[in-house]
Parts: sequence; structure tokens; C-alpha cells
Amino acid sequence: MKGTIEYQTGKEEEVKQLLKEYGLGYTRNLKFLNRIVFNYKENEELNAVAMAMKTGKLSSLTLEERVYTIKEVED
Amino acid sequence: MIYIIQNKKDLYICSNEYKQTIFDFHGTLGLSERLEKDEIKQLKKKKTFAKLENHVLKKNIPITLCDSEGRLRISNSSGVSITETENPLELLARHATDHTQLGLVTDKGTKVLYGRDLRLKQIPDYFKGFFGTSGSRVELSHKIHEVLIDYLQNFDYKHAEKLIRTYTKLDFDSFISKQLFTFFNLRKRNKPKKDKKQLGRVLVNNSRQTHAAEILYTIKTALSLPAFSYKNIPFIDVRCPKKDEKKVEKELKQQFDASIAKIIKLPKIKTKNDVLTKYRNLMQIGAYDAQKTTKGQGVNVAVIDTGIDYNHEQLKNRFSSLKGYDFLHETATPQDDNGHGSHVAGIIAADELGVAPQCNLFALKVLDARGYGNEADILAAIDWAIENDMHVLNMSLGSNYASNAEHSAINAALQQGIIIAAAAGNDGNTSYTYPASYQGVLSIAAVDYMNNHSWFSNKNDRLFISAPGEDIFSCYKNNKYKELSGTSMATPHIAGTLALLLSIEQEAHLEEVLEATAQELSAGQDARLYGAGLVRADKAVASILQPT
Repeated sequence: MKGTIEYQTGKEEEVKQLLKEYGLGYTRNLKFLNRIVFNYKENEELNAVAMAMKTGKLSSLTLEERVYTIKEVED
Repeated sequence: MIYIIQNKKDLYICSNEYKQTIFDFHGTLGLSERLEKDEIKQLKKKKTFAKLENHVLKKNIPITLCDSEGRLRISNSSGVSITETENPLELLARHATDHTQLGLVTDKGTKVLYGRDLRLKQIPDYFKGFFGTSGSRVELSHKIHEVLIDYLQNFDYKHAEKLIRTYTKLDFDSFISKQLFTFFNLRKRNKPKKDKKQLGRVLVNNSRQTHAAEILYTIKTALSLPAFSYKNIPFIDVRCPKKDEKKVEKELKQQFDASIAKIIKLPKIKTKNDVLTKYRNLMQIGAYDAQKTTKGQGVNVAVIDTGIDYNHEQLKNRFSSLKGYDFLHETATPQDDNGHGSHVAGIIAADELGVAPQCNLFALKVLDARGYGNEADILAAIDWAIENDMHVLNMSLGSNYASNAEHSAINAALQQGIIIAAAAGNDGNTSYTYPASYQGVLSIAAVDYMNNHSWFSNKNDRLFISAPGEDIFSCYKNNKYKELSGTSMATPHIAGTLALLLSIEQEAHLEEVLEATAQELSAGQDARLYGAGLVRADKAVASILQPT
């Protein structure tokens, strides 16, 4: 499962370190959005929340909650 | 795992619902600790089940205890046979806890099938789902319900289970999920049955012989085969097993003029490769006239979707060595395993079917084969688009919920000058779909080929413009073609038109050009249905070329 966390410019490495501490996997850096994509296992959401709280950016945490769909129209 | 305890009078269901295993038997037996699966395994090792069994046997209670697969746990001398319940869900709902309900909630209405509290029918219609707890609360949202229905209809119990577990905290195994499917009698996709008893037919010409009845009798007695004569046609129809057809023909030929009946086939329906040179939707927006001036050369259009069939005969020329990115599998080969993305891409830029058949396409795959995806991949795709100098983003996807993260990503792209066209949504109501409804994003509505508002197209004050969205013929995965409908199909008409405009003008406010040149669709046109009206690629291009 994937999530993202926003970081302040220049704090990217700190967030990477925190991800490591909380057992979350680094996936990619979205440098234009100041976000890092990380992956986590099922039931590890709380680790991500704890990590985000530590960065002081809980509100900028996204987890795999929003589901996007393409709805096909049927007659 | 669901355990069923049954005696002659009562029946109890024991589940590890809420990760708790309860053996509730007249209040005298049981474990009610909070148990994990591993713990249950440990208990089995410690022969806890054996203790239960001994207790029951000691009391000489007629009981059968089996697991959901019908495997015997205990039985006694009463000879009660093991009975697998046909409807474990019903039993679960009736007996497992006081507050479990099962119901089917759809757009057409709400039906509580099992449960002690029928107040579920009072719930607001945006709460939709299979499982509910008492009162006015159900666990599955409208969106999740749709996803679940889709999984079940595709017999994808694994993902259905995962979804149920995630959103209801109920722990059902595959058996239960399968029961769920048949329980609600959802649409089944039965495979056509092969006709094993396919008949062979041999026709006997009776035109020179007047006594048809005698011939019939001869055939029936000599060959022991059914035979029938026609009223007005001088032939006799002899039926035999298909495999014996030649043998029967040979035997009949010794006496009669006989031959195997021809197999008549319908002519093949013309389908995929009958690519017409002009298509209704492109004519409707004046694309062919616009293409006399420009075909979108040099403009980069990214399709954030299910990927694109970049080997498609109509699309392969639109790709360079950089094809985009697959954010689901983290590869640079964003191949389409659904078909939706290829269809969208075809409308934008297919050789003969596209609005801008010479623009550069890039596939950003964020949706899986079923058409579902998550926010992190959408953000990554937008970031990729900024980094790789995309000019237009086509987002024929959506969620009913806004998100700060997505909104800020959209804003970052807009600030870089990227124009984003997104589908207004196919709910047919006034709801907002995101990203279409964020400020700055072009929210695209659909019309039919007569320029009437499409019944499914969302109606709201965020609509920017309309485009054809019904029965649109375009590319599909695996080098195929298909007709699809939806605001997903309307959106790429706008992305393609933007590519045409950008190839001849980068400085103008192209959104304003589109709005100013849109075709009014009715007197006093309702902007909540059509936005600015029907996009006109020809007029938009002409407007840019016109000296001011």
C-alpha cells in the first residue's frame, strides 16, 4: 500500500530517515510537489501516522484511502 | 473461519468476527478472549477444541460442530449428521451478534435481508453497502460498495474479501465471499454451453419419387434414425449423430440421392479493422477542418489512466522511446491492461481516429486492470508530468472526494502552465468529481451525437465545456477497437483540441479561446448541463489564426 508525506524544502533526508525508523519503505521523491511516496504493509497505518506526527506534518499525510475509478457507462 | 454449532433446537455461529472467537453454547461453553489467528492455532495445539468436545459429549448434547468447509470437528452417538449451511451469511447475521445486519443497498433501493434491526432502510442514500450495523450506520461507503460489486461480479473473491476486511473489520474467508456472491444473485457471466449433442443432418432428395412415406419408413427401419419430410419441399431430413454424418450419407447414397446438409453461417460482422476515415465525433467538433491547419505537432499530452497500448496500429507512431511510466509496477512500460486508457488516447491522437493525430503521447499508468487506483500514484504521475515538460494532462478518472494533497499537486502543475482536462463524472447527478472540480481544471461534460446532454453526465456549476461522449469508437487494448460512452470519452476531445491549439499558439489563454468559440447548444443554454457549450476545434483554431 502506498502513502505520501509532504516535507519542507531541504528536509527530504530527515523524512527519509524517519521512514526508515518507522519501518516504512521509501519509494520515490516527488520533487516538484515536495512529497515522498512510501509504501507500507496492511495494518501499518499507525506507523505512518506516528511518523507524520513526528515530522509535525500529520495533515499532509495521505494513505491509500481515496479510490479512483473510471466508471464505464452501460446502456 | 466460521464455525457452526448445531443441535436439534438451536444453532450458533461462532466466528472470529472482530478477531474474537466466541463459542457460545447456552452460555456454558466458550472462549471469549480476543484471539488472533495464530492464537487460535495455538489453542488447537493445546487441544482446547478437545476440551469443548469432551464437555459437549459429557453432557450428551446432540450436536454437530463443523467448520465452514464441513469438516467434522465432533459428533456424538445421537447420529446428527454434519450439515453445511446453505446460507452462512444469514446464519451469521441472525445469530453471530446482536448488531450485525446484511442487506443489499443499491441505487434502486435498500433491502435488509437479515438482521434484527431493520432500520438500515432509513439510512441516507449515500451510505451504501452490504454490511451494516444497527441504527443508521453502515460500514461501506457508496464508492467502496461499487468497487466491491465489481470485484464480486468478476469472481475476484480475494480482493472482495480484502475490501470487506478493510472496511467492515469483519473477517470472512473465501467460502463466505462466494456465498455472498450467490446470495445476492448477482449477475453471472455464464460461459456458453457447448452443444454436446450436436446433430448431423443428411438430406435425401425425393423429387423423383412420389412415395415419401415409404422412403421415410425404409430409412427409419433400416438405419434406426429419425427422419422427417417437408410439406412443400421434396426432401427428407435424416438426423444422426454428427460423428456418423458421413457414414449415414454413404449408406443412404446406395439407394437415394443424399448429401450432407450444408452449414449455413451468418456473414461475418464487420468490426475492428473496418476503420472508417471519418468519424462522427470528430466531425461533430470540427476536428477535420482544424486538422487542415494543424495536427498537434510538438505538443506533449500525458494520459493519466490505465496505461496505453503503445503498440496499437493507430497509436504506435505517437510514442518516442520514452513512453511514460507505470506507477503501479514501477516500470517504464506503461502497457494498458484495461483498455480505457487506450480508448482515451485514441480519441486524442490515433492516426485516423484522433483529434490531434500528430501530437506526442505519454502514458502515465496509475489505474489497475480493473480501473482502480490510489492517490499516491496520481501525485507521482502529476510530478512526472511537471518534470517531463508535459503541456496537457488528460485525467478521465475521478473520486467523489476532494483532497488537499491532490489539490496542491494540481495547483503545482497549473503553475507550470500545464493545462488539465478531467472528466466531470458519470453519476448523472449534481455531485462534484475530483480532480475535475478543482479550480483551474477543465471539467468536461458529455453530449450525444445530436448534442443533447448525456443522461449520465454530471450537472454542476464547475462544468467548463461539453464534448461528444456517447458510443465513441476508438482504440482498445491488444490492438483492438471498441465503442465506449462516458465523460471519460468526452475529456480527450478537449485534450486533443488543446494540443491542436498549442501547436500554433503557446501564449494565448487557450481556455478563454475554447469558451469563446464553443457552440451554444440551446437557446438560453444551461451552463450546469453544458458548461460553455460544445467544443469547436475548427472555430478555436480559426480564432487563433484570425488577425486581431
